[in-house]
Amino acid sequence: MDFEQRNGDTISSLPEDILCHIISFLPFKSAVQTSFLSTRWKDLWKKNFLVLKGTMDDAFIAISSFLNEFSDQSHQPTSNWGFQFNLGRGSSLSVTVEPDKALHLDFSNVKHEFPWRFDCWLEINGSSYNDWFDFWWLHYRNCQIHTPQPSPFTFKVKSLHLISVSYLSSRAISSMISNFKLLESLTIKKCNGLRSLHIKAGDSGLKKLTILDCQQLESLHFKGYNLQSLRYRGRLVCFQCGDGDSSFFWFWPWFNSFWLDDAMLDFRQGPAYNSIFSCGFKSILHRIKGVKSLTLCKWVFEALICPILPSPPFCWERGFHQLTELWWIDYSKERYNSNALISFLKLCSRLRRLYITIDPKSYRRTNKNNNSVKVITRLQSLEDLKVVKLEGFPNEKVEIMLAKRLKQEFNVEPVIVAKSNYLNCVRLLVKSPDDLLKEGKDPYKFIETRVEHLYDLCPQHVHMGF
Amino acid sequence: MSMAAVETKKITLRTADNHEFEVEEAIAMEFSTIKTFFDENPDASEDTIPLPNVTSKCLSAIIEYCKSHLAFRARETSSSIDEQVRTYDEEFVKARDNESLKELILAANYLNIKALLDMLNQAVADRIKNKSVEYVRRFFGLENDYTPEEEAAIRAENEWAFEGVDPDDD
Repeated sequence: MDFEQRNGDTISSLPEDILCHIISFLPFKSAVQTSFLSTRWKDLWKKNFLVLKGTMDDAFIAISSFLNEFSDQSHQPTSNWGFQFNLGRGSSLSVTVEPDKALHLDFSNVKHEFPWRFDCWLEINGSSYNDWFDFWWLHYRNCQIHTPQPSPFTFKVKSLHLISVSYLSSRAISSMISNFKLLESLTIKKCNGLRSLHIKAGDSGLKKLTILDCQQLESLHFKGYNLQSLRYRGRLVCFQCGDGDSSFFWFWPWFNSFWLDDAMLDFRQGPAYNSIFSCGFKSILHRIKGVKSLTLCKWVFEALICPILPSPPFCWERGFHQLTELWWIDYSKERYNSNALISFLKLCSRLRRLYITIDPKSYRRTNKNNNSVKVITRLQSLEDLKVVKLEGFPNEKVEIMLAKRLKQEFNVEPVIVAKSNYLNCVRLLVKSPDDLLKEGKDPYKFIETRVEHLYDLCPQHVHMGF
Repeated sequence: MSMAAVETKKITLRTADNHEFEVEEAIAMEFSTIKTFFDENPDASEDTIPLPNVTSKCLSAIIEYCKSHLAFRARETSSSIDEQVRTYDEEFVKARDNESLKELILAANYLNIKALLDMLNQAVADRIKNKSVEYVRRFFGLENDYTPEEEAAIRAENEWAFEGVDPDDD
């Protein structure tokens, strides 16, 4: 009996229950990370989950009691981070909880016969101010904003993730969400059938709202004062922010509103409506003026922003003067045209990092109104621009042309990095010394280099992880 | 300290590399696999028990562990005893490299020694917690067999768990 075990063999012969047992001792994030190790480890961290059975209503009762267990400090189950609820006939719902932090509800496996359209109302501990007097009175009494007193029914969940909610679960979620008084981040993903979404956050601590890939969404209504980050990917829908119908407050736009730090407006799927000008984009534009990270589609800039810019109050403003990183999603044409990009860059004096992606699938307007913006700005130099990252360009010539135009318009020579076909590599633009110029050769060319060398200089745009 | 020679029953264990170990019955009973075997075959106590899945190195370490823990348990429980137990466990694990830890786990699993298995699994968890994916792969000797698409899909699916965390570096 030869007992020299090879290195690899030793651990692969560890039975699954030992691996699950080891995982149960890990902190939550490390446990989730084990799913990246190899295909065998993909769902091991979920093996510890309870499997329960019942109806949708039972499921929500189970969720509430599960959260209550976590809220009760004395009794912290360490290894059981969630459960799977079988609703019968192959449907199941998956609930994962990171203690005191996040709740993840995944309804993707809930089968329903007809994808009925539905509307969803979510109200999170809002006190909305009905009128001016209300507002003053509350502040006069020094009402504490952001720190509501936890009641016995408050779940200490700071971030809530809802995947594939349907008409079957929407009402239960709406009633449950009023218990999430400490909620700071809400993510809604892949909800087919969701037609309109109304979120009333009032003065609750909700800071971050992420809505991704809800294909049938037509309108989004949001009322909340503390929102800092809005991340949206999908079709351009009708936005209504704040109290649109309250004309009394037009001279106090500041208090019935929120200002975004971070906005991802990935509308490359195009508009949900034919007439895009009624979609309320103005209110969004108003709120992204002070944004630091932005994702913007070229077609939106051309069709929606350019026409509004020359008129007040936008024409009085200094542009996007806090913007430090921009992800510009371009559409592709036979001949790449960087006019719109350059026009927009003239509004971003403090830009540090620029990411340009040409997506051939991005929507573009067919009427050729080449709105090159007459922007009222002085000749800018983008002094802070250090890095430009390119993706999806048709060939190197176009990339080099863009580099030259940036130098010409803004007198800036940032590090230019482009996607490479080789694994773990990127292409870096370098300029040959001047003596080559005499030979009539283009001094610019790209060289391959390993991506680790540039990671510090050129990190991912914060919206690119989605 | 001389002890009155109590006639304790000894059990013989033979490891995979053909070494024979004589252990007191009390210690052998810590191994649930063996205990079950003896419960079902009370007459077999004279025979040598073969342990084809355990090396002598592992077995001697395990015997040491069980002996020490039996001794701890024989004394009165107090917080200082708990402290000593903890220290003993830490020392037991500290010097061992990853490979021998894994071997010990396999042996403890085979012999079904719950307390030791728990302690060892916790020790492994402590060694890999908060470390990068690459580090853990190296620890377990795993190959990344995900395609780039699969990897991106998993990342998107589990993104929510890492909200607000900086990429770890190791």
